[in-house]
Amino acid sequence: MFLIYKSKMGEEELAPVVKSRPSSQTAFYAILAVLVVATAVLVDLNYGTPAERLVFSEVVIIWGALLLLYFIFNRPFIATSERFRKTESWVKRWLYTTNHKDIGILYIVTALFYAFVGGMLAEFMRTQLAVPQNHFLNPLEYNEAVSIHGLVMIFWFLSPLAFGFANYFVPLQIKAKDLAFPRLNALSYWTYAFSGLLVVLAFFLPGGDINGGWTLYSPLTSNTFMPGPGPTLGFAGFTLLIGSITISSINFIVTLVAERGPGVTWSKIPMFTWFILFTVVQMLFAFPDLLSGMFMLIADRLAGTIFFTSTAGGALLWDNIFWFFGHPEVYIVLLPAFGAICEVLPVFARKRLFGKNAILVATFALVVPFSFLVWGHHMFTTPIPPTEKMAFMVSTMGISLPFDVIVIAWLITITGGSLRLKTPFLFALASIVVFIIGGIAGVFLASVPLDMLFRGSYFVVAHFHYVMVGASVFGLFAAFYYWFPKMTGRMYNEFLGKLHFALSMISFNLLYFPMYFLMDMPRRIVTYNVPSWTLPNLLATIGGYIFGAVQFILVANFIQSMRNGAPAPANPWDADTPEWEPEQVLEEVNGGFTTPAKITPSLGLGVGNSPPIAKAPAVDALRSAQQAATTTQAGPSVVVRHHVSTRPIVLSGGISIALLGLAMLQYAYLGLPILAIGATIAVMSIVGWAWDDMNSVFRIPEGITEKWPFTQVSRLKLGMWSLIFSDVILFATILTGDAYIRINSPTWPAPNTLHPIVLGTISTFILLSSSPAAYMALDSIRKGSTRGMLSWLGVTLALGAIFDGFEFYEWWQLFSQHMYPSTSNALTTYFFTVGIHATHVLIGLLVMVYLIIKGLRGGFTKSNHEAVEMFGIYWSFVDALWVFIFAFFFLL
Amino acid sequence: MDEEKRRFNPIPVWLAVLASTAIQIASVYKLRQYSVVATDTLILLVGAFEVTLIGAYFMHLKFEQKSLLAVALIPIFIVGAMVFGILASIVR
Ligand code: HEM
Ligand SMILES: [Cu+2]
Repeated sequence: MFLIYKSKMGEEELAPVVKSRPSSQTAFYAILAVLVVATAVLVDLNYGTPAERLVFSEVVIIWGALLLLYFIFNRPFIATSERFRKTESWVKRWLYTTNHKDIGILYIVTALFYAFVGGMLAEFMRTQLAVPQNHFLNPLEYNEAVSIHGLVMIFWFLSPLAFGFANYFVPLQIKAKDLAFPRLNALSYWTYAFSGLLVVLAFFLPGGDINGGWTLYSPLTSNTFMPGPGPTLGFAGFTLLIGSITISSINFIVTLVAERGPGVTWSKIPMFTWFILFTVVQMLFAFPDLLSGMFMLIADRLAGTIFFTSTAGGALLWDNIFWFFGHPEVYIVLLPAFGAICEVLPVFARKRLFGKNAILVATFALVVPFSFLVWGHHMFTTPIPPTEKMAFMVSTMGISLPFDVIVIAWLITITGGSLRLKTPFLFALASIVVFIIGGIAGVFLASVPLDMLFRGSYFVVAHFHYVMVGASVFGLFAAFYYWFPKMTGRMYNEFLGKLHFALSMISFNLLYFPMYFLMDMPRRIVTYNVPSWTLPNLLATIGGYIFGAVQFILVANFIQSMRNGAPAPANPWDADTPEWEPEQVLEEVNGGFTTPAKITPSLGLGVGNSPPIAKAPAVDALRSAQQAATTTQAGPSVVVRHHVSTRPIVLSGGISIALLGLAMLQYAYLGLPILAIGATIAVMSIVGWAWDDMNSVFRIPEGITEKWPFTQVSRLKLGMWSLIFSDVILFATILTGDAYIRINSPTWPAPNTLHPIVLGTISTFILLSSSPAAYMALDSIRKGSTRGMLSWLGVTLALGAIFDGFEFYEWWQLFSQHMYPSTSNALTTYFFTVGIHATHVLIGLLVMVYLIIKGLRGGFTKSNHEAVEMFGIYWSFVDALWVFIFAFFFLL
Repeated sequence: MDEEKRRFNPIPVWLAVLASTAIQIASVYKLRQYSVVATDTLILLVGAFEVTLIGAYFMHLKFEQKSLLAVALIPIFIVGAMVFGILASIVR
């Protein structure tokens, strides 16, 4: 039941206190002064020149590197005083935690930071549009601002905010001890946090940031129209975020399916958790599609493929790929807020939620599947066939019906209830009202003829801000106030809350309502000179300023209340969902957790499964957790499940640095070393991760949980299958794109002309033979034969390596005949698809190396060999993919 | 589930997969000159059969709880929608 915590951190902590060294200190300040002066001179010399961005970016990078070195070598946190030691523990706790509550809070705080980034960009745009013919931003800057505002608000603020709450409350609502894979959860968080930094950093690289709109319409986003490492870095950051989201969705799906506490059957799952489930199911299937698109886009930019620059693929292919993801995405940002509203309304109306099952069925049976069937309504103004437009119009009208069910159920819930008009309720109500207004506008857009009229106008801008800012953000604000007492143990200030609500609602409408009247003003324009547009724009800007400023009330309220707010009772709203039940935690006595105690959540952040920060600084707490594991074994109801890992943050950092290097590769000498450093860090932390696993540093035993209908399926296997499902979408998108290009190409090489069938057949036979070999490895260890397993793994490894060798041999053959990805459509699709597949094989090879080493060290036994089974499933899946790829390029 | 029940002899499955590939290749050489459409259809159908075999045996789906199999239908539905919708949008 217990997790034994092992880490080198303990020893590090005891490092001797650094004494002050006067001579080196003088030198330090001298160097610092020189650097500051040099920076000032550099900036001054280059200000306003074309080299401006490059120089600024280098200054930022150099200062960042210096700061890092300073911290690494000087370790200011360890030095000097007790206070610094505490700070260090505190910092380490937040950097290395894998606890779901901690990570939830990290998500929320980080999301607010990105809201500030995206909000500032919005204010810049509103300033530019306040009056006609303004010159506050130039056109390129405006385009960057629009694009990054849209992307950051959706992907780095709105969704992550929702997932902050999901992290914190989903495990509590289903009585799980944590998410199924806590380290992967930390990895999701850190890749999310860093990926946003990459996107922000891209502003300072040559070429600037992404400036083709949040829809990234290619070929506008190709090298021709958007050259430079800046946009590439932006795309790389976005791609990293997609990785983070995919890991996160798998984690939540497995948690919801297999980690529910005893007695928490499906029918007992609270509404918020249900809606998170709907959201992650959509995320699991929508994001891999976008990931393929991003890979193609980046390949177009860096490897010379011509997916979106040739006429065979081009803009319409991007449109399809993007919107197949894009429409589910609008529900992905909406549904968590709906879940929160479903929690808040009944509690504050003191009634049961009306039509709970109708809401669930409508969402799960209609919204979730249909969201993948309506993407064409974003393509009404493209030349796709009219019949298809009609089909998409009908399906779109259909998908609006379940939302009527939901809204009606909500309205019935609150009518006749004895309402408590507290801030959470007010925001929930506002969310519904605004959603109705925004939704009605959406119905107009679903009709082909009206959409022709409104497409690309400020009417659309008004529509989606009503839905996203109004419905989603207000819904999540409701969640914010509602759960604040649980998360902090203190009450927020009700007056400030209501003030925040009232001013937000007023300024929100002042900001966006005028835009409904700007039906003839195109969106994404940098300035205008039409008299009738002046007033609405001015009003919107005033509203925008107020709306932005008002949000600081919320921040102030929270900071103030967290420190000085009235202590919150355990269940301040009399809610009956499980997250309000008192949790069992271990009370800290003399630096060790010894006494299990029932407590109310008033001890500060992270109470419960992790040590309260107010009492125990992290490192000490971790040590105590270790002790507790031994001292409290008698009490089976008490589980210490605190585990930390340095791997997630280091791995994410390494990947981010590597991506920075990758983006700069073609433009600067610095690119290669940066790429190498980042890759080295990443590889080292992956090896470290494997090392941890091999030594069971971080082992989570399979608990007793509700798992119907997957009673027989292990946690790991569910994770593996979820991963495979998402990979199916990834490859389906790639192959559909290939087929699309092929059908559109005037000519296509016949079988056996470009790719020799003989070569393909040999490599296919080799790969297909490796699946049975992998099975034999599993069969051997099931019978207890480690030797047998190792030999069969060796065979599989050899076959896989030979297969990849064949693929690269064919590449080399093609290169030597001067055939490159850019040569033709056929070669673009071939190199790309086979390349992605070969990478999958390569990953499998690395996993096998790990399995073999672990096997050699006696890590697998007759009863403990799940990793071997998981590997076999993955490996056979990669083989199965090849069947289609082989057919597509060699036989058809 | 009982470990013993999850065991099978991989050799017939392996041979069936290889034989299917052989059929695919033979059809390119022998059948394609008569009808490209028929050949391509045959190749795809045989490919689907191969993938089913791999999924059922080497990915152990045949031995898993049936609910997992049912869930595996979701991505197939979504992929179907994607392939159909995207290819139907080709402008001629
Ligand atoms: C969660 C909050 C928000 C989200 C999710 C959001 C989302 C978006 C998106 C997706 C776009 C389209 C970008 C594009 O055309 O590529 C956009 C544009 C824009 N947003 Fe927001 N936004 C939010 C908040 C705000 C706020 C608070 C303001 C004003 C202060 C604002 C002002 C604008 C403006 C001026 C545009 C540009 C319209 C255009 O030129 O087409 N947004 N937003
Ligand atoms: Cu849509």
